[in-house]
Amino acid sequence: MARKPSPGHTRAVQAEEAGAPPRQNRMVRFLVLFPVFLAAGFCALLIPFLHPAITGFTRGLVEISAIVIRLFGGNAAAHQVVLQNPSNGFAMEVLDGCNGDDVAVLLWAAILAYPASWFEKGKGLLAGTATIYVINFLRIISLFYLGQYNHQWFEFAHLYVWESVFVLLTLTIFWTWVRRMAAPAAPGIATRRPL
Amino acid sequence: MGEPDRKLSDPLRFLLRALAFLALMLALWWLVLLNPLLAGLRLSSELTLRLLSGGSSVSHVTIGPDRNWTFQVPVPAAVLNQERTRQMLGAAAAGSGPIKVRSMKVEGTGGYPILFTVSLPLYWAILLAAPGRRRRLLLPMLCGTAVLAVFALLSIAVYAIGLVGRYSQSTAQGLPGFLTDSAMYLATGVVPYLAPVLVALSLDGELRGLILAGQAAPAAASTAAAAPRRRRKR
Repeated sequence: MARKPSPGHTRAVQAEEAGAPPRQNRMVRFLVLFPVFLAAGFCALLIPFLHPAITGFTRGLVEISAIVIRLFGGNAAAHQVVLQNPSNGFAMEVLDGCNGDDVAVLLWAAILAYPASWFEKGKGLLAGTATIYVINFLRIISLFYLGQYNHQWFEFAHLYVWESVFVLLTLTIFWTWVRRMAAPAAPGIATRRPL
Repeated sequence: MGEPDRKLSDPLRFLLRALAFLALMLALWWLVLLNPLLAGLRLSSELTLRLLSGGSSVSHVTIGPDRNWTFQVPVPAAVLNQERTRQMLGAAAAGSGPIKVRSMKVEGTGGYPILFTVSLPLYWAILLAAPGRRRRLLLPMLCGTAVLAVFALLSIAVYAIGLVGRYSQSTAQGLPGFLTDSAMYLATGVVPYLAPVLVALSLDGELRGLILAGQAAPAAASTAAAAPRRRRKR
């Protein structure tokens, strides 16, 4: 007896019937496109003429961090890309690699390479990038306070803990996005042809 | 909780587990494994430098008490041919015959070699946190560790080349300078964090299936897999 298909199932079947390449082919395309987009993204970050824009973004991030710290009663001043506590002289410089651009590039490469509609990609890019930059903003503030407390802990948290957390976070954001798209169609479609 | 809700919580569950394992693995790495790893990296990078320099015995890598790394490498021909080097050697050789330079020493901060090994605890945390029954965990764990060790070795090589280039001012500007800076940026800021994820997804098919194909959650998958076995028994 034929079962009534769910809306998600119908959508997936329509896509397959419309001549879309099989899932395996689309995944192969992802595995090819992802490194290409990733390399393009990192090249874009390294191109010298884009540096002013990236530095401007970092400067804005530092300014906002200083404003938020002051709003919550803290003491912070922004000087270009340096966040400083005027009362004790502690200062930390937010470099290009510390502004969240690297992980944003990673997420963008994964989402852009994944077989999905442009609308879904747009939603994923917006929500994912916003999440990354909000968490990065919290990271900068946490490091600012940690650095004033203990320099060794600051180094450890900066180089090893937060960077690793960010990679896990990016992976989770991407996975959540894929799951959200696959959720309605998953019982029938996704398990049938695993990668 | 419905099926979609439960599935959507899988990534979050993975994140929480991965964070817990990351804390454990970072502690293990920092307190127990770091010194043996650095010693192994030093030895293998010395062997690599010797291989790269055609079996030259002048290549040495040492770690100082301050954890700084010193690379002793054969002097590149480009450096020997520099006007500044010739003048320096000419002044030193005045009255005492020609001086033959065999090697040069460059010292770099020990922070970077440590950074090159941080990919290991991150990789282990990802594999341990991956959902499902992790029966065959040992093989991807060992293979991935070996691959990441090679990445660490390559990063050390890039670091050493960057240091030599900077000391000799042969890669200070222009295209060589851009390429060296880019390679250093990738080796120190991208590869240690990105490589574990890519290696984990490459070597662990189950995790790759879960994330990329939106497959069913492991509990459901294992139940579904168990059913045909029961039928076969009958």
